[in-house]
Amino acid sequence: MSPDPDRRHDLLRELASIEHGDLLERLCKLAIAQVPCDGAAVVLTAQGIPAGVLASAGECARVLTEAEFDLGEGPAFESTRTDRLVIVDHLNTSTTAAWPVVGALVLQAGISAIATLPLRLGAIRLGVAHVVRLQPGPLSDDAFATARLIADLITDAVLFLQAGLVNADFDDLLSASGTDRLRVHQATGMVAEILGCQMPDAFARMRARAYAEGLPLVDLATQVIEREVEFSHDD
Amino acid sequence: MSDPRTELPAALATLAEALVTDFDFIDLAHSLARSTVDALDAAAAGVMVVDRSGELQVVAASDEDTHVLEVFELQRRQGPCYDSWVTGQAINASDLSAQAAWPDFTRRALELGYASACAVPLRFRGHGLGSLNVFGGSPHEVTSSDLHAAQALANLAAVGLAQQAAPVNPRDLAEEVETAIHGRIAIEQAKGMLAVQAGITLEAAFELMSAYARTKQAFVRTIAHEVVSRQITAEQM
Repeated sequence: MSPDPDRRHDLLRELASIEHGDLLERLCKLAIAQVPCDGAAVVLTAQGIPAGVLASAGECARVLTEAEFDLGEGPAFESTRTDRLVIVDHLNTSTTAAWPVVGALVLQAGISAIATLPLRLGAIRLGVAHVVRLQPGPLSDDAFATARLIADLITDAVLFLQAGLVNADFDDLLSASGTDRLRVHQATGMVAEILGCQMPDAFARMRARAYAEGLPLVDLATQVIEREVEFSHDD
Repeated sequence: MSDPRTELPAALATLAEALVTDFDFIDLAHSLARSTVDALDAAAAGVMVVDRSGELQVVAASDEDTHVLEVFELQRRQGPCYDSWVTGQAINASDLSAQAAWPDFTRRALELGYASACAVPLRFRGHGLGSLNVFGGSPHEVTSSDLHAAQALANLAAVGLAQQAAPVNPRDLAEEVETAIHGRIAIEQAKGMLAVQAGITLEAAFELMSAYARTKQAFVRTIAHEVVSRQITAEQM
């Protein structure tokens, strides 16, 4: 574990230079270039099970996610069920025993290693990110740290998209996310209770409101905690 | 400070007991923070772990008051906790009012009535995991035996964090740290919900969850997830 405070900013700079595709697709391409790996995908969960592929890059990632959804098994299902990271550095019949049919299919497609990272924020579970490689072997500590940071960026990006911020400058938003402050999460819980909605919705509404008012998320959170701001169902 | 001959064994026993039972790191960290306050006769203590971006995140504090949490949180990139994590050494600031380093942190700590601060690293086999931070209510020299006591308590907690990653490798250790950070965030989300449900403060919301977790012999983190998924309400606690 070698945390580097500037690594997130470096990754955002690299992201800005990737022009084609929507935000999540660009983040998948960022993973391919920076981890590095041969494919990456973002899988969304709903009601505790994988529900759809939001984005992918690289043919091998497409093969993996298609096999998973055709067969209803695979590392995305395993990670969602266990709420843990799933790492297979050497794919073979014994390391894929938890998802044998998908394991055989992806082996046939030349995939040798898969890392599946949960996309989460506190009690919020959004889905998983796949990092797929054709060469076997463990990811180096640095590569693994990069994969984790990109999974964080994907988590932020999915939350932005859920906030309906379609015209926003995502690169700007990602560089000031606000999710590292405890009071943002306290306020999210308060808003979820006031509106009777789920935690990701509450977070999305706070984010949209902060963006509309040009306020840092943490300042809006303070106003929520101090009861200086009202949230209604019309927000 | 108080006599470590009486308080320290009790604190060590509490932490060691937690290590031989099924435990969650956040609960262990709360126990560490409260034991440290007792053993060192301190005003407050907090436990921070380093996240994947290299910033320190609060996982537990002896006092759940929002302002107290904030003064720990201010140390993500500066302060005795941060310096202790970076250097792997104990940091001793016996008089905060004479402290020029860490201006934002020092100003807020003084406003909250803290006069001294020290921090010891949480580390395991060469991996810096975070640090334990202690505040005193009056300026005084923290003795080397106080620092040793704090380090002994912190080491036990570090073993606890590493034990959950067994067999220990950096990747599993990172995963345990990650679980602790998201557990703490889930607790904050649940505090917000309970505060609105029961019309109580965030601090009282934590106490409610903590007391309920004790009666159910469950982890606070588990209760927080049940609150967020609306399996349990403030009234039912």
